[in-house]
Amino acid sequence: MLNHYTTTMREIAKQRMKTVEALINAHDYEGAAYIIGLTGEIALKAVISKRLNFSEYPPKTTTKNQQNYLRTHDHQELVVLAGLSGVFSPTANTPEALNWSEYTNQYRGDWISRLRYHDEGTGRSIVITDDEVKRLYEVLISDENSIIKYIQRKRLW
Amino acid sequence: MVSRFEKITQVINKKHKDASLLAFVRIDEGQDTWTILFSSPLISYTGRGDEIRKQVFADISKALNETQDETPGTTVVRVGIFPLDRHIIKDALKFKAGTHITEPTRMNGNTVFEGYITISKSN
Repeated sequence: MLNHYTTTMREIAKQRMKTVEALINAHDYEGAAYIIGLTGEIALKAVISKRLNFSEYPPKTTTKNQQNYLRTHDHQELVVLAGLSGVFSPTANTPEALNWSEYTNQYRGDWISRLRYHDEGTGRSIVITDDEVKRLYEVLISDENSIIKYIQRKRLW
Repeated sequence: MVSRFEKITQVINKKHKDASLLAFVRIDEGQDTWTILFSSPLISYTGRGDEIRKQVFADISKALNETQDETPGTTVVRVGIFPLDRHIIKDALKFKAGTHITEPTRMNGNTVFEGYITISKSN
């Protein structure tokens, strides 16, 4: 039986998937780009919650420790904690690994700051076109081998 | 030049002569991990272009597996295979083949901490 917290995280991820669809339908691609990153992050945290059987997600603390590691926005760190780094590694020649590569090429490290703030070097933010946002939606959510469909198929959350 | 990356470049040169860009970049802040970027005029997300995209990924994946013990510290965490019109590709194509990026360099809002541009048809 799933703990309440894992179920909650999974449902939040599903809600955000609907939000992404609504934003894309409304042609708000900048908003969709942000929520796509958030959805992937929450989905991975739901997987971690299930694997580690959290009753609640560990709170952020002021010292560097395990809890803070679990609060990261970094998808590459989260995928390790979720036990999926091998599945999504480029050495695994699968459609899911290809999708993961494309997804994390955009959502790397502190992706929130890079999407939100201007690039000091060039005076502009990272450039994501509308087509790129639609593509990120596919690789995370709608493609038959999307990251979230893999998580659902394998009952990882 | 890192021997593992040389071998992957040889595979691409042999199997994908149309390649416009092959770059190995260390782009994850605080992590000693690498990203491979590839582009060619044939890459797209539909039809034949999509098949080629998947084949490039398969070829690079195979080369990564065959060279896993080649050079320590060259863990590749993603392979970005994109059409030429992507901004990160356009920025990467500004570098000539043979360039070794050793100073933090901006690439479409990203910082490249180190990089090897092994194929660049912009030159």
